[in-house]
Amino acid sequence: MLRLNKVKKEYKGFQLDCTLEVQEGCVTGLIGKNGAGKSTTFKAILGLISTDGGSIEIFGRPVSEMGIQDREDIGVVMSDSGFSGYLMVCDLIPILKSMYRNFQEEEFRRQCEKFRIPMDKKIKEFSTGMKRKLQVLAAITHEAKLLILDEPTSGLDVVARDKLLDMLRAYMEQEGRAILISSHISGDLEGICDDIYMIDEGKIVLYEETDVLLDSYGILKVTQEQYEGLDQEHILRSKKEEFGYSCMTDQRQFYQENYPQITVEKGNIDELIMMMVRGE
Amino acid sequence: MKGLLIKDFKILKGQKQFFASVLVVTFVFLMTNTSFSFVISYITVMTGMLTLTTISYDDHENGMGYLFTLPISRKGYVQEKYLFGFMTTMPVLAAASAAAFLVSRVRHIDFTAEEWTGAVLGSLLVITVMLSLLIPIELKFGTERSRVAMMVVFGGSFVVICAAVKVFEYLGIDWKIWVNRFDGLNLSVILTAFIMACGIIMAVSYLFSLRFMTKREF
Repeated sequence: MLRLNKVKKEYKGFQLDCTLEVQEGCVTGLIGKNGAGKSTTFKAILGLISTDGGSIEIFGRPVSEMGIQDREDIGVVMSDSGFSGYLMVCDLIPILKSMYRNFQEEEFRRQCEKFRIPMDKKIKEFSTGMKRKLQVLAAITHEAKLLILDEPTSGLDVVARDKLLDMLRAYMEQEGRAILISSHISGDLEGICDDIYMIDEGKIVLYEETDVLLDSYGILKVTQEQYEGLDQEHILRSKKEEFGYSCMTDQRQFYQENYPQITVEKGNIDELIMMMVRGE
Repeated sequence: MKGLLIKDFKILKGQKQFFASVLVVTFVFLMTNTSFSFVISYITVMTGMLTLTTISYDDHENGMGYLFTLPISRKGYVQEKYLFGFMTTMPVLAAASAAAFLVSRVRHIDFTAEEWTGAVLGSLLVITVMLSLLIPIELKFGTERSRVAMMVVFGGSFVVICAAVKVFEYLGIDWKIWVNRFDGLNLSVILTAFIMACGIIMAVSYLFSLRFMTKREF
């Protein structure tokens, strides 16, 4: 569905060099700290910025060759922009209707009601969470094949976030669809993503299926002495701590079986990000 | 493009106070003043500003970036802005011109057909030049920086015109002769030349806007 091959973009003090792929039927997560390159990657995919090298293909075609009609197959949520704040939701309906041949007006209205999005209030008066919900609803109600969602759950409370993730799961029930999603909330990604790319300083530093990440990866907490006697073959990152070292591994079971005396934690995605970014 | 036009007209819907104030000023001028040419150009220029307002609103909080994630091309966006400018200013120019003509007759004020034609054509030229200059500036620099760019352009134009007049005076060239040459020409010739000039100005402006928009990053 989406393929980025060595996509490069240079800014002063930052260089993006990104290769990633989103397969049909998959929800792919892109995670990383602020300024790691997530939004730049999204903007490059959407043609909002020019690139300095590499290639981007959507639905098997170079993104530069995509026409207006191809864009109807994509639904987007941007982290730093949205519909004009001077419009009301009721104004958006005829606009979306004329832009998307498959816009599902009734579904859109129903979901707006469900998420308590007022029809007759200017969007600039909405909270961040409401703006985000509105964008998600607009993205999923026109039969898009690919969703590109940059921080769609930011600003949402737990209940709204859960409802929104349920909507995305329901969206994926239909065949031939895919989602690329970024979020700084690890729970969102653990719960919905099939695979995850981790980006840091513009480069993909880790790619793994979510199940493997949660089942096989782990954090070892070891003293200086234990660290020195540790088989380093499956250690991906180490970080000096007051008690000794924290070590990230992709073979948790190996260390659990062979080093029963050391503490092996399962580690969630947040901890894995921390280790990838701060570890050596 | 239809979606963009709907969006801009929906944005206009929120400009009721602006419309009300322009209408009041126009009404007061028509009823109390004898300078109908000014009224026609005033209301046309004020309406033309609305096109620039819609660009500012699109740009607000990086909204233009989001617009281009929807099925909208940059070329389509630029075309729509010129079309929207035309669709809003031309009916208003026609209505204001008709109103000024009628009021001048009702109030028995001497406002000849030549003066009226001059006012209509003058307003058309002013609005064409204004939109042709300001749309590309707004698209190139965005809302904030375009204010500075506009001041530079208008200030620069003023300085250039003043300098040109001084240079002509110094060289003993009477530029008014060129203007007077129009007096002898047939109205249809003037009109055709005028419309062609407006078209060329718009076309050049459109090409600049398209170039700026194609290169712009969000």
